[in-house]
Amino acid sequence: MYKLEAVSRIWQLDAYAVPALVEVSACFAPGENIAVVGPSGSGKSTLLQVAALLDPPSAGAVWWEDQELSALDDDARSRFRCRKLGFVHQTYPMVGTLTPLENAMLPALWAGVPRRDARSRALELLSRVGVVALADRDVRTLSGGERQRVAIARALVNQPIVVFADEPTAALDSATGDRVLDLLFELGCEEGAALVVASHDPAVAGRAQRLIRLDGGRRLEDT
Amino acid sequence: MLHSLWLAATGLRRSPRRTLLTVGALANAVCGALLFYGFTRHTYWGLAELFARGGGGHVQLADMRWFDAPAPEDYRTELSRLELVRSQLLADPEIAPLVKAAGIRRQLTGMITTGTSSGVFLGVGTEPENEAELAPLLVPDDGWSLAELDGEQDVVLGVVLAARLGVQPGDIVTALVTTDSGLTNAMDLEVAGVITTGSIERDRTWASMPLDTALSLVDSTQADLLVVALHDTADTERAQAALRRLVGESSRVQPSPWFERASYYTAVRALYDRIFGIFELLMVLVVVLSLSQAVAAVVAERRQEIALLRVMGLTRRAVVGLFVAEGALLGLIGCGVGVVLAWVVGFIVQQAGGIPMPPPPGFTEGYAAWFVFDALGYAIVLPATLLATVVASAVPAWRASRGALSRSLAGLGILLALGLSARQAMADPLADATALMAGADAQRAVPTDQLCQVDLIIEDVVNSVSWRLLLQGEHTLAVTTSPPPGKRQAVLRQGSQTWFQTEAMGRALRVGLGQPVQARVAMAELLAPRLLETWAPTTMHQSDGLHTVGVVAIAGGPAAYASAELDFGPTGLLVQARFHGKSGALVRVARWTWEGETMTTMEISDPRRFGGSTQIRSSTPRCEPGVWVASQDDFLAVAMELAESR
Repeated sequence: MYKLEAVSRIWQLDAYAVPALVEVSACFAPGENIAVVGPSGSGKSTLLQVAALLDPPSAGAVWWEDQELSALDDDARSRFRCRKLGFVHQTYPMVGTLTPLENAMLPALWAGVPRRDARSRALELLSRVGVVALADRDVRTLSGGERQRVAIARALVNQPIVVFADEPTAALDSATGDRVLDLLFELGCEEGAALVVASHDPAVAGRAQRLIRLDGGRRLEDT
Repeated sequence: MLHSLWLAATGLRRSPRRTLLTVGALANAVCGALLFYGFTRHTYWGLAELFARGGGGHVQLADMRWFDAPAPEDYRTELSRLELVRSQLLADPEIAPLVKAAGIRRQLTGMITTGTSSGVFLGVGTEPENEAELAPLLVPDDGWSLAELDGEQDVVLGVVLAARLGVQPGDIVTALVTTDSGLTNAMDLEVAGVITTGSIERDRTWASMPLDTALSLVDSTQADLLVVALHDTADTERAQAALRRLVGESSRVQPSPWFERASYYTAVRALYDRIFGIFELLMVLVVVLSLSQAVAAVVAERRQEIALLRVMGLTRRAVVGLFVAEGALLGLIGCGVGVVLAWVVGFIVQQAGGIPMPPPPGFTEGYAAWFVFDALGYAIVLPATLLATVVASAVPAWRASRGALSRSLAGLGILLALGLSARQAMADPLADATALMAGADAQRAVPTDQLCQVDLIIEDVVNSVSWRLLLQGEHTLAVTTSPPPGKRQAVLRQGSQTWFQTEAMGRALRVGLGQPVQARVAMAELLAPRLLETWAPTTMHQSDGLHTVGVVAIAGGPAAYASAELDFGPTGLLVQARFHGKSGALVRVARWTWEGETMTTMEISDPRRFGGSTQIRSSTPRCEPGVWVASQDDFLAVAMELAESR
């Protein structure tokens, strides 16, 4: 079980301490999908960041099983992210000099997976997200929807325990966004990963099994 | 490590322009450094050869006290002793192969006269049969050289001394000297030749004659030294050691290498060392700084990539390792190309006969400079270049991978949720510039759910086109979002006219109805109007209820202008921005109006170029999947025209 235990995050803007997240607790079970919703500035992205070990919490802790992840040093957190967590970003960033296949393989290679295995796993995922035909294209020529599919394959290549997606459809049109969401929920479930999606989109909330609503950095409800 | 190398090599191969630019900078630096080093080596080599081949020899043997005594005449050596040493060294199996020639010298001073004019001379008695090998550089201007003296009473004069005396080859002069026993002696000598030694001082007093003549003139059996010329200057120290062994430690006659005796060489080299040293230092600084800047700029451009790699789980060390691998590869290629370039330039210069140089200080003859490439030069230049490249790659990569990933990722769309919170903090009039800008970023964020999108395929390149309805006067504008920054495209349509432009053209989109251009809009500002990624705050002050933040463009960022002043209202809303060019001139003013927290209009005026102002009203049509609510036909027509015209 992946758990957040009363995590807070305070941004220090020079003389100002801005509380972005206040004592939020949550747990993410394998195969579960959770939508994190709330207005702009409510702390959705901060929650994902802290949970995904991108930023250490100002208070509280992040746990996986019996291991306190937030207490690890930066290198150990990086290794954990590489092997156990996946990310899908709003703007589907890619390493521009690599092909979609190489982009999808990259986390597996860094996790120490042999090249041949990483390649076959990445190809399988690209096939499942429907862009295997583009595997060797220049990634810069892909459309937003195609890039987001590659990003989903990349996020899943190491069979993560949790996939975090921050506004994954915000930069896509509605139809493409719907298809991307279908894939994200479907593959996240098939891979047995917990899927945590932060979004404004009511469609996301409608698909999720659980809803965490935030406002002003505080959790209003977890249903 | 292997992954780093693979990723680095792939990156270099697939970014040919970036790779070529960086390799070009590196190759230029290596080539320049090698050529400069080669030039200094050749200069030193020329000076050394001038001494060694100008009669001084590579090794001199004499009574050790003779070399440095104030009165060396007290420490001369018997001619027979020097002849014995010469015969021994020419028979020695270790020394003989190194030796080109060995000659005995006797120096003498006195007055030389024609009866009507006279001058002081510093003469030297030599053995003509050895002079061709000992002093090949001393070629007479007129008459015969030292090596060609055939009469016992011949003399070769320096060109200035000959002119002073008014003599030429064939004329008779009288030399007056003091003998070793203190008597005065005189002898008539025939001027055999006139010579330019290269040194003005020597030309004024130079007189050389056969050794027997000199000894007879001074009535002595003592000579000063035995001069040994070698085949190769590089053998000097080896020959010196062998000669020391030959003569024995206890002997008064000891060898001394040319560089200990060539006071002129030592003085000139000391001067050149200082001058070249300063130039070399400056050059190394310029090279290292320019290299660092070139490589660091490339790394800085890739901050988002670094952030992405970190999010994917690369440790900071791994990220730095990746960039170090890339820097090392670039460095190796740059060094290789630079060496070849240096060779090519050196070859061309050699074929052209060298670089004509003016005479060195105290000399009368110029020379042709070439480039000498030796192992030491490569050992200095190549590792220094590699090190500079690797450090220049590692440091910015290390810095870029430092700090909160959230900030690095701001451009990737994760975060920042600072907007509203920061704006709440800005109720305080003492709010800082960063908080104001963060708040403005949140206020002015592009409402991405209000963009309509289609795939526009141009020459097999798929552009994800966002149709953002911006009204610029009567104009409508479509901008693409999928290509990377710098390659985004825009289509402007009005009536039957269409304009197309890529962002790479000055990183700005020029929007207008033919000529004159009516407005200039930075596309990066339209697509991602984030102040914090574009500008760095430098000053802040408050007056008339406005907070004014002075900002400068972040290097490598999307800013179209060099600096700006941003005015924020009492509630932290951005109300006006004044943009300045590099010269500091006001280029553009943008004003925003608000209803509550909703921006209603943005007005742009360009006082320098256009004199007028253009208003852009933000419109927010909602798109349903597959349905265009506005101007769909227009857009598709534009796309078709675009595809056909290209």
